[in-house]
Amino acid sequence: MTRLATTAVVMFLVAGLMGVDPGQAGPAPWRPARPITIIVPWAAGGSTDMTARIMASQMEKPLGQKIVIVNSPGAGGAIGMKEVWDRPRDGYTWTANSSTAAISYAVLGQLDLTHRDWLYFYSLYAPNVIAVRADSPIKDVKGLIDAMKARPGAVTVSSAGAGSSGHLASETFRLAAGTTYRHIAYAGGAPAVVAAVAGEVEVVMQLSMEAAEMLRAKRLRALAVMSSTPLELDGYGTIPAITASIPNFPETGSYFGVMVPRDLPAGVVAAVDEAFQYAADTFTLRSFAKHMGTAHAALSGKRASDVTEAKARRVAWTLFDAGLAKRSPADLGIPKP
Amino acid sequence: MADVAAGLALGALSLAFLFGALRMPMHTMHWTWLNAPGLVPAVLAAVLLVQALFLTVRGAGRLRARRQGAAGRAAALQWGAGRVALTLALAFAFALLMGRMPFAILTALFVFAMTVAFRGTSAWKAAASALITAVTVSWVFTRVFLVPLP
Amino acid sequence: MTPWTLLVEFTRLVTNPVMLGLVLLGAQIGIVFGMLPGLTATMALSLLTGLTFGLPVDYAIAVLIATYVGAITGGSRSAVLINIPGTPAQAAVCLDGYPLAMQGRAAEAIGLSVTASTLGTLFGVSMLAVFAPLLGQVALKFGSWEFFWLAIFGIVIAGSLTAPTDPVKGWMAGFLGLLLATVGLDGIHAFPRFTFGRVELQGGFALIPVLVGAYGMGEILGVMRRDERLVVETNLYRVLPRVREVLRHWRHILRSGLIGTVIGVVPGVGEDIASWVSYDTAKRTSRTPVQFGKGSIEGLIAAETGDNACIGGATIPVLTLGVPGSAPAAVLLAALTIHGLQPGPLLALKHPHVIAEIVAIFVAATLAVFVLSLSLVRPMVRVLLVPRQALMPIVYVLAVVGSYAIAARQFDVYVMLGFGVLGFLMQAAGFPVAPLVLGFILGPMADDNLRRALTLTAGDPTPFFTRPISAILMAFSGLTVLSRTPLPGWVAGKFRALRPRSGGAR
Repeated sequence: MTRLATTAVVMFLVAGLMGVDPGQAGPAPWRPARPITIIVPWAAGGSTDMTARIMASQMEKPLGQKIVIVNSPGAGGAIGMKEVWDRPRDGYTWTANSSTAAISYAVLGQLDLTHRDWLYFYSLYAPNVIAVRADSPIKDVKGLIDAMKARPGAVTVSSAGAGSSGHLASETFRLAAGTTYRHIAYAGGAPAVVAAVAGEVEVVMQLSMEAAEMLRAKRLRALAVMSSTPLELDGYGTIPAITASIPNFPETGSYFGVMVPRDLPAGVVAAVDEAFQYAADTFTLRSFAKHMGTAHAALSGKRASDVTEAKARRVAWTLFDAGLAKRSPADLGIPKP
Repeated sequence: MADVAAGLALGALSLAFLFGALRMPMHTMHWTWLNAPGLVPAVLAAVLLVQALFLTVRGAGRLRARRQGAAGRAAALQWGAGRVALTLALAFAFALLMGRMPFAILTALFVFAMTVAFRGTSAWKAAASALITAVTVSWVFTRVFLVPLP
Repeated sequence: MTPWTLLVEFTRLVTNPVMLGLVLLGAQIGIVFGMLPGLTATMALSLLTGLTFGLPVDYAIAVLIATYVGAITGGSRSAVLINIPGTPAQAAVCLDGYPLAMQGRAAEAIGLSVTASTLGTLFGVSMLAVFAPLLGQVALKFGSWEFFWLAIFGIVIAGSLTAPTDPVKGWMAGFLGLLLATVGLDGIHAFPRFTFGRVELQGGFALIPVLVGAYGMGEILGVMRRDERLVVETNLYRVLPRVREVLRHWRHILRSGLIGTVIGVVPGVGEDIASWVSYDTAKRTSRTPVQFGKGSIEGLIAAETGDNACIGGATIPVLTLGVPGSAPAAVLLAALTIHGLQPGPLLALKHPHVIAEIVAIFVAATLAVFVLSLSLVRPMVRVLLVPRQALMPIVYVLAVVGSYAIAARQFDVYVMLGFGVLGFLMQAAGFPVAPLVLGFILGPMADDNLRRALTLTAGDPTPFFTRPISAILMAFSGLTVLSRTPLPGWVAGKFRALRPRSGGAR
């Protein structure tokens, strides 16, 4: 036991070294008295996990408390979300997720909770990027459509799993371009991108942050970003907007950030929001967003709920059209986009 | 005897899994039988079923060859069935009470009960070790490792 | 990277007292996390990533790497002392470590396992230093076909290793593990299998609660059912193994080091498989295979060298591709990324000194773990002098905490208890639990990759047999099965009988 005690003492010294001093920061309606836990419903190292960690590091200071990340992966994040929902409404347990995943659980029939049950604190927005291996014969979006038409149902597209943002993007592309493809599911965004780099699949349509480093290393080549404006990626160049090839292509991407149950006491929500606004404005978060090839955001409150609602129409009905939905979005009160 | 029981239990379990796997859709708009979700569980359950049958038949053969007498009850006592049951009961109580009372108190009660029941030490000694365990565990985990406890 | 830059980095590191202090601190935290069943290397790294965020990059990385090495090394203590692997990587260590402890040689076993771990880590790290870009390419050669055969190979090995007298029971335990691992959403279509509409079951049974339950509860019930006072007489005076004694096994160390490194490089396959494959290879090439499972020093050394060599291996794809080679390496990747050192093909170009610095930290951390581990063996071994029945309630509390803390889920505690009862019943009926646990690691891998591979080729199985690595792995699996069946042994016996008895020991 003495070694544990030694460890403990040294740990506290380190905590002191890192300049954590509880009891500063301005007056807030709610002050956490013990460490806060963010249950990330995905494995460590993924996009959600990294966003949560970097946000937590910047939100600790205004809250004057440690924020601990616990990874609780499984069932596409549904279990971790339910775990957070079942906790007491004391403000000590938050979650972090992407807008796409939060919307999908109800439509996929995994949870009764809908995207309207949460409050969102989004710190970045990642659009989906269509990428191929650097030496692929496919040169642009038109080339991709031609290839998909020449070999119906045989062009392989990888994604992070059924219902993931990459799968949704592929389905959106299929509906917009009137083509077919072969969906290959992987265990996450990173393996899906690596499969394209290794040549196991031909195309990947995951989020910009997941493909960014392979694009910079010239292992992948971006055909388009699923947005109406081109994407400027540091160290790579400009990725053309897909609307240049397919007009009216809907904006496809995910917001990332921290989420808390909507029925938390107002004082707690105000304190979280204040800490979030402080954190979102820091250089650390801005440069993280830029480096990952994403757009920086500082959305909370009604604005965050509104963008989620708008995304929900697109996501829910795409899932329905792809035949993945267990419940019709109409039953959930989500109108067609 | 153990082989026959294990074989029958695993056989029943694998049958249940086989049945469940075969009821999964084999052909939808998303998959054919080649990548159907039920394919691998069905194959695994079938293999386990065959193995369980083999074990049962082999075990039954050996049983018949030996024909032991039925000193089952005495053997169970000597083997410690009662002690296993008591340990399990306390362990389940611990798991079920988690989150319904402070973790440190629950830990202290559990260690105290186990020590008194199994070691027959004096209540004072048991209480002391229970207290030390409870305080050390909850302090180290929540304060040092920052691990969330219920 | 030249030896010169490495030396410069290393000197810079050891002459910086803060850095040294942090390495020692990380190593100690890692050892404690590794030692406690249920608290894993992944979890230690995940917690420390948050705690070290405010530190400068190189300090943070030093703490994390030292913790990683410490946790993988520390797990052997609980394996040796209470027959419960501290992390999934030490399941194979239990096989020989615990029998050695029961013979009163616990201190020696821990000393040997720490030494083997240290040599393994150094081997893996030197591979990282020398062959990083080259081995990084190996990671890309592993497609769905290769992953499928790798999973099959693992299952075949564990089944035959853990039940030498009655192999059928080993296979059955393995298949039960594979079958129970299919519970939850499937990895390809997210179709709920055997979930009965429960959200908790959609994620399946998590590995750590299964591991802690099957080993921990099994051991707890096994001890508590006995009435007599169980204390193990133990020799405390030999900890540091003699150099000669370790070097005698240099073949096993080199072979296991190589196996561990390569398995580490393969994305998603980690320390646990590395130690099983090393153990199996050692048994196969040993002059005394009968000793394996009864306290074989060779087995202990091979398993420990293998799982630690995996650390360096798993770091290779992190640094060269930005893809983690194992679960703890995934957290290391996240930590590097949020500190602005995006790992990947560009790391060596953008931050040329980083790889040399990481190698230097690894070497320093390995030495720190070695010293810290050995300095505390004697007090640790005294655990054996505590009557087992008094120890087990505390072990149970730790098992509950470990299962709960990994994901903060009450359901996982019930999973731990359920698999505990299952593990106890299995042991009582003569089934090994190790293949059950390994089935949980390999089941999803075999299932998803088989179906993904078939989807990729629209049902054509040819690549399973024609892709080179795939074919090699298939041949290995086939040979393993053949070597455990009587026929080839009989043929070989006849063949050997025809020749004069010369050097045919292998």
